[in-house]
Amino acid sequence: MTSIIQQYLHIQCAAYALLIDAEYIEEVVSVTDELIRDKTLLWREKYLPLVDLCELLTGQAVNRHRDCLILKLKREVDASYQYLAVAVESVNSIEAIKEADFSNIPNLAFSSNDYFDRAYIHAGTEQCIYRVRKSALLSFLAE
Amino acid sequence: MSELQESAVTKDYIVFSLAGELLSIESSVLLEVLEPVPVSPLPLVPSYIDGLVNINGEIIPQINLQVFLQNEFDVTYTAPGSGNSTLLVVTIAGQLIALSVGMIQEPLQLSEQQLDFSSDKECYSAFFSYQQIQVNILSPNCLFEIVKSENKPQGKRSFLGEIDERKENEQALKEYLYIRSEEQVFATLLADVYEVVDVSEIKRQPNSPSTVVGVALIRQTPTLVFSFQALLVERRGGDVNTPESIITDEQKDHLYSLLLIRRDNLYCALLVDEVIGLRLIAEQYINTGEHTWQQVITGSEGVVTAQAIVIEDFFSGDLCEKYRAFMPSLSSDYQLQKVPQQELLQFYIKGDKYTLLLSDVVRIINNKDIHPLLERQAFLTGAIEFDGLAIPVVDMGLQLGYESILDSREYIVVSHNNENWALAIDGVDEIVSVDQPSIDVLGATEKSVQRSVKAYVCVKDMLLSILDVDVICSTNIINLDAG
Repeated sequence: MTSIIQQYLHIQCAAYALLIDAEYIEEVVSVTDELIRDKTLLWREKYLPLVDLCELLTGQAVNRHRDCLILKLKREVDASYQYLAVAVESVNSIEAIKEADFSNIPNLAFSSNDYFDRAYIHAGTEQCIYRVRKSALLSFLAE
Repeated sequence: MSELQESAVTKDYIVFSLAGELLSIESSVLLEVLEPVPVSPLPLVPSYIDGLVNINGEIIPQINLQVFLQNEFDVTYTAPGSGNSTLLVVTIAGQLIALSVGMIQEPLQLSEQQLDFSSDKECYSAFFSYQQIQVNILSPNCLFEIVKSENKPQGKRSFLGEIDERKENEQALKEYLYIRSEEQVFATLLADVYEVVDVSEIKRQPNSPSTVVGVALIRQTPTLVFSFQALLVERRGGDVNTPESIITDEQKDHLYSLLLIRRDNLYCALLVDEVIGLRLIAEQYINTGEHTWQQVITGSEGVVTAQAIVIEDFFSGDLCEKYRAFMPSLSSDYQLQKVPQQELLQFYIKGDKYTLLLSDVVRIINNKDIHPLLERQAFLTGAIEFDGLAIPVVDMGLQLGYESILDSREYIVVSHNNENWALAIDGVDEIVSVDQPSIDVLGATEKSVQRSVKAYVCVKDMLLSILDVDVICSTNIINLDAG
C-alpha cells in the first residue's frame, strides 16, 4: 500500500513535542505582548482568537518570548475558512512523515485522546511526538 | 497428596517489590518483563501515568504503580538503589500497559486453598502468605479505569497478534473529488473521473432520455452530457424530469463544470453545479448511508461531509445500452487523445507579465515583514520567515533589469536544491493551463550564459516568458559567494 507523506510542524510545549499538520498553517509569527489583548492576537489588522497550547496542556502559560501559529481551518468541507492563533513555546522544524510511520496511541480514558490521534517515534531520541487532531484545533475555534 | 488436592485449580503468580513491600500479580495478564525504557511524558493524564513507552514498536502507557496505589503505599518512598527498576507489561481490557515496579522476586503456583479472599481493598483480589509475610495480589480490575472500555477486544494478546492487527489498522487513504449538486455535497473516487473540464456551451439533444442534458464539445470531441442530479434521482428509483431549465439563455456566459468519464464502452460527461476540490479520505470515515448501495463520508466528529458516489452505478448494463443511441460515435481515436497540460503562474513585475511553471512554485505568501541584509548582496534584499525558517528574498525587479521592488508585499516561494527562496514581485495574476506542446523551450546553452528565461508560451494571444527558477536562485548563490 502506498503511504501518503504529509508535512508537519514540529512544535514544543513544555515537555511535550507535538506535530501539527502543515496544511492548516497559514503563517508562523513571533508574538510580543503588545499584540495580545483579551486572549486575541492582532494579525494582519484583525484580532484572532488566541489559544495558549502550553497553558492548555500544562496549566501554565508561557510568559517568555514565544511563537504563534496562525491556523486556517474549515469546519465543513464547503464552509469558509476561519483563522485561529495558537501560541506555542517554540517551533522546532518541519517534518515530512509517512502515515505508515505513525503509531497508534493507547486508548486511554483521559482527555489526551481528544487532543492527539497518533504518535511518531523520533528515530534519534526515541521520543514520542504527538500528532494534534484536527477536531481539537476546531474545538479551539468554538471556545 | 490426595486426589482432591491434585485436581485443585492452581494459578501462576509473579511476586515483585514495590516501595519496600511485596506485591503480586496473576501471570495470565502478564505479557513481558522488561528493564526500564525511555518514557515520553503525556499531557492531560493523571500523575500516576509516567507517559508513553515504545515496547516492540507499540506505544503503551507506563503506570507508576506506587503512585497509582497511593492509598496503600508511601509515594515518597524510594527504594535503595535504583528505585523502580522493572517494567511488567500486562494486558488490561485488550490494552497493553507497562507497570513500573521494583525488583521481581519469583514466580509462584498457588491453589485457591492457599489464597485468602477476605481483603477489603478494591485494588487487591486476594492475599497469601509468602516467607511469613502477607503478600497482596493486585486485581487487574483496578486498572480498568485507565483504559477506555469501548470496542476493546477481551483476553490476552500477543505481540505477534498485534503485528497483524496493526497491519489492518494502517489507514488506507483514497483520493476523492468533492462536487456540489443541488446544494448537496457529493464525493467520487478521483480514479473514476478521467478529467474535469469547464465548457461554455452545451447543445440540447432532442428526444434524448430525461437524464441527458445535451452534447458539449470537449477537445474537439462531441461528448454526451448527463445531469449528475438526474442520474442520481434515477439511481434512487425516482422520476426524472427533463432538465429543460439547465441550459437557459440567461446562462450564456456561464461555464458548466463537467466530469469527463471514460471507460472501454463509455465516453460521456456529468454536469455538476460546482467542483469543490480534492480530499484524501481514510477508509474509517467511509460508512454505509441511508440505502445499502449508498455510502457517506464523515468527518472525525461523525458529521456527514459528503455522500460518496460510485459512478459505475449510473451506467450499469441496460442503462448504458439505453444511452448508447444518443452518444456521439467518436469517429476516430485521436479525438480522445488527451493533450498534456502545463499549469503556469502569471505575475507582474513593474507592469510586465511573467510566468513560472506551477510545479516550480512551493507557495505564494504575502504581508510578510522583510528583514533587510546589512549589506546588499547581488539581487538579494533580505530574508523573510517561512514555516519557521528564514529564507532569502530575491528582488525580481533588480534581477530582471527593472528598478528595485521596494514595497513588495507578495512573494512566490520556490525550491532550488531543496532550499526555499522567496521571489519578491509586484503581484500575482492568475494560474493558467496551457497545452504542453505549445511551450517553446529554449535550447541548451553554455553554462557561462546566465539566462533567466527558459521558455516562451503564447497565452490568450500574449507572448509570455517562463522564468528559470534554478538560474534565478543560483545566480544569487554565486554572487553571494563572490561577495
